[in-house]
Amino acid sequence: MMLVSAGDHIVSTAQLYGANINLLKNTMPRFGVETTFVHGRNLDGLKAAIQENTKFIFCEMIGNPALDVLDVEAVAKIAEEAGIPLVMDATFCTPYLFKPLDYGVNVIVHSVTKWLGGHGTTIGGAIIDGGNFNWGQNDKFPTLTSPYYALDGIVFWEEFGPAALTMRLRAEAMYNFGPSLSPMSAFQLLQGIETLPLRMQRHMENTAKMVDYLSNHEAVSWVRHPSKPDHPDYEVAKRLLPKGAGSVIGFGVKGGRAAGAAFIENVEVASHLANVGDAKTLVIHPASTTHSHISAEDMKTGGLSDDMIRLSVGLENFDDLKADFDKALKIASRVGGAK
Amino acid sequence: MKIEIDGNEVHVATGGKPHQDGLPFVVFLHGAGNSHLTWISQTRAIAFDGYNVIAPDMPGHNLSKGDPIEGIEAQANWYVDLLKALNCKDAVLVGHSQGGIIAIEIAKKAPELVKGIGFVATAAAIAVNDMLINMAENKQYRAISSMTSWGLGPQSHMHENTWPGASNVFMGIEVMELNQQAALPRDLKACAAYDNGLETAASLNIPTICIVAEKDKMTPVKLGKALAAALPQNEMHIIANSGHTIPHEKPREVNALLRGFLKRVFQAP
Repeated sequence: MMLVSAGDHIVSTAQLYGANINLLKNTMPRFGVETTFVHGRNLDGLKAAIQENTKFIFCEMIGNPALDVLDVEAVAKIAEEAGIPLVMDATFCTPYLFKPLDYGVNVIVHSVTKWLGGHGTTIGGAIIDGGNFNWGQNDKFPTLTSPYYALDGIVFWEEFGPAALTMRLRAEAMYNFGPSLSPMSAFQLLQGIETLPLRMQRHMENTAKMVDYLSNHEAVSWVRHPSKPDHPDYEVAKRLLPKGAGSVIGFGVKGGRAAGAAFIENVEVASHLANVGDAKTLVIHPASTTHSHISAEDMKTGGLSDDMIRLSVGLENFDDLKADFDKALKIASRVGGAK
Repeated sequence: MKIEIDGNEVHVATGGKPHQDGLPFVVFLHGAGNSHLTWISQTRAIAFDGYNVIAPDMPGHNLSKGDPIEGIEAQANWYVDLLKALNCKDAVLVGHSQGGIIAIEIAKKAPELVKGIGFVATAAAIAVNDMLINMAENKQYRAISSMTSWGLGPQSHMHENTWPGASNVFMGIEVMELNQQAALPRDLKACAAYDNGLETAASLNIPTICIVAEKDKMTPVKLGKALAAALPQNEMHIIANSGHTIPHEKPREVNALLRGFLKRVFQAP
């Protein structure tokens, strides 16, 4: 919001977290900022969607929950050619799996509540300004290149150069919108970050086992994860995410919606929770929860189906998870079969 | 502010305050491949103390247009033209690294402009390895990242930075990346070719302060001490646990020393 004003435009990949879609599609237009959504694989479409008043391209590295992986270098090139920054939500990969600044991303946002904090105890977010965008190259960014009403008419780009956006965020966003962490929250999140690499290693080990397990389970109709050769972004993921394509898996339970609900209600080691990236394994049915306020059409554009279960693989002993899933899938297949 | 010198637009940072008649002038000179952004943590503080601050980008550096200038003497001439155009006289010059040797030359060429000099992490002569000049010409990003790495002390490398959440390493690289391609090699060649600094420094009978960084790999303490010994009216300070980039790494210490020095030079209350 530090980069756009009424009359401006955003281009966004369509495969986004439901709240991101809502913000861009429903809230921002009330303040005069429109967004065009284009599938992340449609590079020509992304390029064509950029208008004179477009201020940035927004994307998620791994789309939540459809798990599309972005060919970020190609998108960064489009943004660079248009003289606008690429803003990425990199929550699903964390800095352990992917370093966006090395691939031309300019601004990164994270929900720190997820893998970075790691325990689902604390709500927080972060904006990382790569300092690698020249805000003075055109006249698209007056919030950074013209005087700010406070601080004696400071011009952030002249005074702080690469740190211009950071300083505007501190001077205006934190001041006027108030997104300040309490000290205890900051402490908990920082403590979580200390163990990020250890946890990510275990998340990825368990995810690989889980993808294999679900793919071979007779009660599971389909499994979606970028590490599977049948995933449309398999090659992109292999190239850009060699340490793993995140610990979220999408899958369908045979028997449709009722079977899916039975599965979620009968897991005991895994928790039924609308979060991802916890130490605990979490399951949810997006169509009836996180994405319930998204239209059927947007669900389809976002790559979501009615029977999808979103699984965030935790750090438990995999044998415990397997036993838990065996039991819940057995009940689910009875429900699905009876139906 | 913007001003035109030799037909090119020049960006001059004033620390967030327009100049006022009657206030003493403090001129900040950046080093090789850098810009006024060297002085982010100084210009605003000093301007709001009640000085007219001048922190320009040399031509081809960051926001200033025009070709980068070759040679320390020519760079000093450019500064003299700029200061005259801004009606600046009796100023204290504060030079970082290459900016320090430019300040020596300005004081020699136009003594009426200079009342005192602050030398920040600099020396009377700055030798530059040919390989670095070659890298700056042919593989500039490597030169920039190497200089940023050498230029920062251990604390910055451990990301114990003065601005919470900011990285001196990445900031340093991005600041240098904003300049024209020709700026860095020309600056480095200018430093390498300049060799009468000690002799000129010895002739400067004005108050000076040398602020030297204990862990400076680019202009090491012994070179700072040699400059300090040559200056007739000098006070010297070594700042512990900082690299060459002291204005960023130790702004509180640098600003406290500069404030004291400015008060003494201008005999302010």
